[in-house]
Amino acid sequence: MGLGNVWRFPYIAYSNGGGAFLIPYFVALFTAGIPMLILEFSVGHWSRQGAPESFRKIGKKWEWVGWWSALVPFAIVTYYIVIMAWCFSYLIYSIDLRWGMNAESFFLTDFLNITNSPLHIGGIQIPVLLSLLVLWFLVFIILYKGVGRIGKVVMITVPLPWILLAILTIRGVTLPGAIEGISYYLTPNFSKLSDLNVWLAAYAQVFFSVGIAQGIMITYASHLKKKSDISNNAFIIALADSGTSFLAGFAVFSIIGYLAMSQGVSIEHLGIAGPQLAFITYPTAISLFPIATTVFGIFFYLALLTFGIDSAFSMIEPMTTGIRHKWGFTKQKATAIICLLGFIASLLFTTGSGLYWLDIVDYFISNFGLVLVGLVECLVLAWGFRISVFRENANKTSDILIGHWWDVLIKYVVPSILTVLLLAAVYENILRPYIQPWSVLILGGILPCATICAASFLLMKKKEKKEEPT
Amino acid sequence: MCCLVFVDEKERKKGGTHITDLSLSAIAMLIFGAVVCYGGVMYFLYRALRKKHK
Repeated sequence: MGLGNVWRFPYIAYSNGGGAFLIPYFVALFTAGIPMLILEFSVGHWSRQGAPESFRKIGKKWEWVGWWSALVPFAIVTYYIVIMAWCFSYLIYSIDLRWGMNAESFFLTDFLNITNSPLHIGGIQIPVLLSLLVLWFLVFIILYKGVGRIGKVVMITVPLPWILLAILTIRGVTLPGAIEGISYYLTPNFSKLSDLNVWLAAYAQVFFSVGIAQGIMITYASHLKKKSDISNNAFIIALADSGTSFLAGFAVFSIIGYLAMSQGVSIEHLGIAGPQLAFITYPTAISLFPIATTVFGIFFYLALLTFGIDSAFSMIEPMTTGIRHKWGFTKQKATAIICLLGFIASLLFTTGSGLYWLDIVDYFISNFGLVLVGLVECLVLAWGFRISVFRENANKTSDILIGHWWDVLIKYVVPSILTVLLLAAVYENILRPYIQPWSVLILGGILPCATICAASFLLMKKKEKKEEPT
Repeated sequence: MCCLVFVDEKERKKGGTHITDLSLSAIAMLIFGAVVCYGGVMYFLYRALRKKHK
């Protein structure tokens, strides 16, 4: 669970048909999410290695796929942690409700000092930079000792945000006007189901939120006990993740309904897309709360932060595991290198134009990067190797036995769906580019995706060190 | 989720809203989402626990 549940799901659902989005979402979950989660668990459990080594074990020429799947979450974490840095700052600002009654102006002008175009970079914002430093340092401290320490940290960071989310939801749904927001969230607009982009958004959301095609699950599964139940774990994880997203929708939309009623405006006039939701709409609503405004401000940002921190660990782990095993670095050295590189890359998003770049890079990496990795993963594992090996490996320890239907899904169904969706999205972007001018689209969309692809080949070609990692 | 979507009686008397103010299609989506997510998690947790205690 992570920011993908609280931050991304509600607005993706809202902008793609409200309640009707649940249909493509669950279709995506059952046709690609869960089958691919079982596949990644089985690959990691079978190879006992991170993503690059797992693909290398399948075939030397496929190592780049593993690097690619490890690089995508690393690219995501460079902006993801900036959102966490904003949350960290806002957690402190919640004490005195620093945004006052004009949260929009505070966020865009005072806090981000936003420029008028992505091409006008602007200066680094010191409060964001300081929060970013704190968070990267925290991530480093937790990660450098290895998965054992993560296990201890997640004992707190998994239940805590869930408890906070439940409190926020209960408070939200008991506010006047909440039902209007919930109605907005749940009422299905079935006409949206004929739009291929809605289906692409559903698959991308499942990939992003569940953590598929990011090398994460392969890396974590490599640490599973030999007798761990693969299929059951995959079902529980995927459905619990969806349940968190579903619940987060209530927390978010009930507050939006309350805000719309308090301000006497319609919900359409309130921004709920990504940054606007967490840093403009929600703070405005918090300021209007009849009681305990500070407490709810702290609860909300603490929930976002704790949701985010788990995802941050998991997005960094595939790269550190990859370079550790390839070049025999110590865990400390590998984590330090990755955290330092990540921090440097994050700096772009702390500038005055950071919000623009964050939005563009997120759109392209999530919709194209993740889905493309998922497609390539399926093709390589199903066609470049024997998929039955992974089915049998999963069945050896699982309560729920997977049949041949799973082979069909991974071999034909998932690749076909992802190919159609990707082609449709590329065509749509040629007709109506996500962002104009083209130079911005190339710099923020095509260049990061191409760099990740090229870097994965370079990392594969780099000679490895023979000694074992310590 | 249904039990969470309520407004207290005082609020309701003041003209507040209630779960029944949701459209039928919205209620259907609510039940659909809750059954798939939470029902699914409960079912697979039950299977995991049953296996553990066998």
